[in-house]
Amino acid sequence: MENGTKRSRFLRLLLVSAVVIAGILLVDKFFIQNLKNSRVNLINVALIYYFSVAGMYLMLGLGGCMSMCSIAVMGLSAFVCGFTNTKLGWPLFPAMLCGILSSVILCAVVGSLLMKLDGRAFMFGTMALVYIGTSVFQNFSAFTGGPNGTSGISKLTLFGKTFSTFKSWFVLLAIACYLLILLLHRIKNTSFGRSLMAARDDETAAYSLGVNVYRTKLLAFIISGVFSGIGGALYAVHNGTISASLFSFTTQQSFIIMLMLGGVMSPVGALFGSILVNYLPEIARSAGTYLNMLYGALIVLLMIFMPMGLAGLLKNQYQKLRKLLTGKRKKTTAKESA
Amino acid sequence: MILFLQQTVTGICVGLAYAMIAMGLILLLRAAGVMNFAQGNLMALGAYFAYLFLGKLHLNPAIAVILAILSLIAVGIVFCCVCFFPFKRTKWPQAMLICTIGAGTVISECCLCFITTETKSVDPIVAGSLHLGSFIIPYQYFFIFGVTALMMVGLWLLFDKAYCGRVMSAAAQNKYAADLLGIPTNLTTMLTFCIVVLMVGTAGWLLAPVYRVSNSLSIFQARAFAALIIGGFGSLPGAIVGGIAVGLIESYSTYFTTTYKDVVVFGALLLVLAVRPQGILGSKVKKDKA
Amino acid sequence: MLEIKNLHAYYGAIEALKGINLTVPDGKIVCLIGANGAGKTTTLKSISGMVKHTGSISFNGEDITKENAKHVNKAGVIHVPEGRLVFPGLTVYQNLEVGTISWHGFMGRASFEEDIEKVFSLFPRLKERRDQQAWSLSGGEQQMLAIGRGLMARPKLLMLDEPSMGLAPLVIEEVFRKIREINEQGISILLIEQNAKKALENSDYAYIIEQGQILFEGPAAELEHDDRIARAYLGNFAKKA
Repeated sequence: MENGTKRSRFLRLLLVSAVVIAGILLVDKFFIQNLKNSRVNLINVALIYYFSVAGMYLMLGLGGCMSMCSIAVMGLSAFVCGFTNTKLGWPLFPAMLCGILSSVILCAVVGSLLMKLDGRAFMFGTMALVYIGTSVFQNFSAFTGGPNGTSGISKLTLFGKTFSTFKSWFVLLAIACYLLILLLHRIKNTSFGRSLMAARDDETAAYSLGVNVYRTKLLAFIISGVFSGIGGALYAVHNGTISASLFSFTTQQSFIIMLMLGGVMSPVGALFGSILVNYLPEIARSAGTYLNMLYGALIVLLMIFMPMGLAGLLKNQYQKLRKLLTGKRKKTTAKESA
Repeated sequence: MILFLQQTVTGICVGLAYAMIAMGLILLLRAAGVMNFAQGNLMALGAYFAYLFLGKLHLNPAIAVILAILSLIAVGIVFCCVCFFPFKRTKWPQAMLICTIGAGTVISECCLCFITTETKSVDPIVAGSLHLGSFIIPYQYFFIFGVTALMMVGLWLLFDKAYCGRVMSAAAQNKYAADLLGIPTNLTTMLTFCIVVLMVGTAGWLLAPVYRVSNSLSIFQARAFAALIIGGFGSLPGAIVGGIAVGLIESYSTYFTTTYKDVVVFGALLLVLAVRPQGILGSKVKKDKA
Repeated sequence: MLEIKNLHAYYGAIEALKGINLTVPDGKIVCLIGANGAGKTTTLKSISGMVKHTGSISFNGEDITKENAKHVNKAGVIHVPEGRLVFPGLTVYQNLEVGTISWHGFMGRASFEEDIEKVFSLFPRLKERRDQQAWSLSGGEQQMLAIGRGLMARPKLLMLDEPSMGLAPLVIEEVFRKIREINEQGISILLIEQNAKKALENSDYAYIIEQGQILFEGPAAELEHDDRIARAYLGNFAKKA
């Protein structure tokens, strides 16, 4: 029986993946390829940001910790990748790996310190990291190129194809995000994921059930660091140029908004949140000077009326619809049997 | 030596301003349970009101001050209604925090609407500086010191000596018990918001001539967070001590670096978290306080 | 006298109380006992207006059904909540002080020194710890502080929610002694308890509540010997009459 359900789950996964990949290819062919380059850049960057937002989903949605340092970790990885590639002349893949490794080390070191603290102290500790990061990125010219940033990072070459334009990146990034979502779903259903959620809901109860809260949360932090690191390396290669002004607390705040807009408990929602937040300014260009104000007001309204984000809203509507349909069905069967 | 004294004085004065912002954060945290991420924007608002009433409209200073106070109180009421009342029964506490981020953005954009460019200057209350040999202190710093000290004394009188202050503290510590006793908790929370906005707006107005008025002033907010951690999270005296500590650290850091000020200040925060997470004044007890 | 007729209470769509009838005569101690979740606290919350309810609640002829906590307090009905809920950052004195809010008013200037003295004479231990912050008090002292805070509101009827919860047996004895002393001063008491034995020993009249409905009622002395209670709540320790 177990083999049967395992096989059917695997088949279902294959089916869904096939549909999703087909969908991605269709979107690419009919939409992305006809879009202006700058807009494609926005969408790609949104997909890259999703890596950091996914890390935040892991920490906040599953772990209940408001981690504010994704942008600093991403920045470190991006600059290390850029530095090793341009200044040290390393080929691309080792450079990217180095970037990711540096973010892992950073998260391990900082995490081991901060995870012992309570939620608020942790949040402020991660914020401190972002401000330190901003300052270092802006000023440490030898490493980051200072205010001018790092430029001239090599292009990605995969299976003989060189990704030299933004448009060529879309399919790759979209598939990567899909794999990330699958990974997040998988994590949620492991004992690690369940321990994390237990620790989120009640640390003492989790502890009494044998969950090593410190280690679980630290592992989650490092995993989110890996995601942010991958995002940073991808950003460096995708854009070819990195400038320090991106890696500031403002961007971190936008990550939080991406997560909350999409739905703090939903990886898929977070993806759409990322795309929306990044792309909305383009669509709403006409609003002009009032754009940011509307944006802020939108967030306020969103938190008041839809704290679970778009995903939460959709889930609610879906459940209401289901109740309506099954309710009606129950009524008719009762009548028939009467 | 003179330089050291000068930096100490500047550090203490600026530190007191940070302390005020940090105290505002603590008061809001206790009364509403929210870490207010719009604090920096509220500071900027205070500075903009100063620019608007004193600079642009050239009103009589007394009228300007009264108008500014009334405007800040109005903002406090609106802020409370938007960022607190809707969240009284929320299941997701982070939502309130993010709402304050949104509100902060709205506030800073509104400021931008009044002012055409991002940076304007507010005239100091008394221009010029005190010269004692090579010891130079701009007069503005004395005002910062004086006004913040006065506000802190006022707060102490309110919460420690006045009946209504104690009622407000009670409502902040346990809303349900306060409701049962008949304490008007909505009113006390709104009052707290108004007091905090006043405090923070005044701090913004005082600091604006020293640091140019910018629509964000969010770096002060971050310093206030650092003050909370360094001084001892959760207590008002801790906020004061922490604020002064951050001011001094920032001031002394100019000895060896001007570009990496942030690194020093926030590095100190991380150091405190590593070595003494309860802060200078914090104690490991009091788990069910506030 | 407190009269409750046909009280229904709701938490959202869930009906927690399904028609409660209850009376507290002047100067008597009435207890409401039952298991966890039976609806005891909900009854008190309905009286003080903290939970949605329908029915009729009147105190000394005044209809307080639709009133909020402040007006219920003003009418003389004070609710001392479950779990003490003292204000941890305030001192003993300050905790007592804020108890006067319903008659003192937010900006009022009346003096409450007399009330404080009365509470201190009833609870000398509190007087000793007058300037100590409430979080540092022991469980029993916090309970006395909570009751004292309730007394500061000048109650005619004092409603106590599980005053014995989490306290050591000796301390429970003392708390109930104090409750009787308060009653002797003329204040009626409505006592909510899970500790049925102690409650029955110290009350005049008792109501047994289960799943939102009153199962039976009667003079406490009789119910102490009733087999049904013994089986349900006392674990067969009923005294033989």
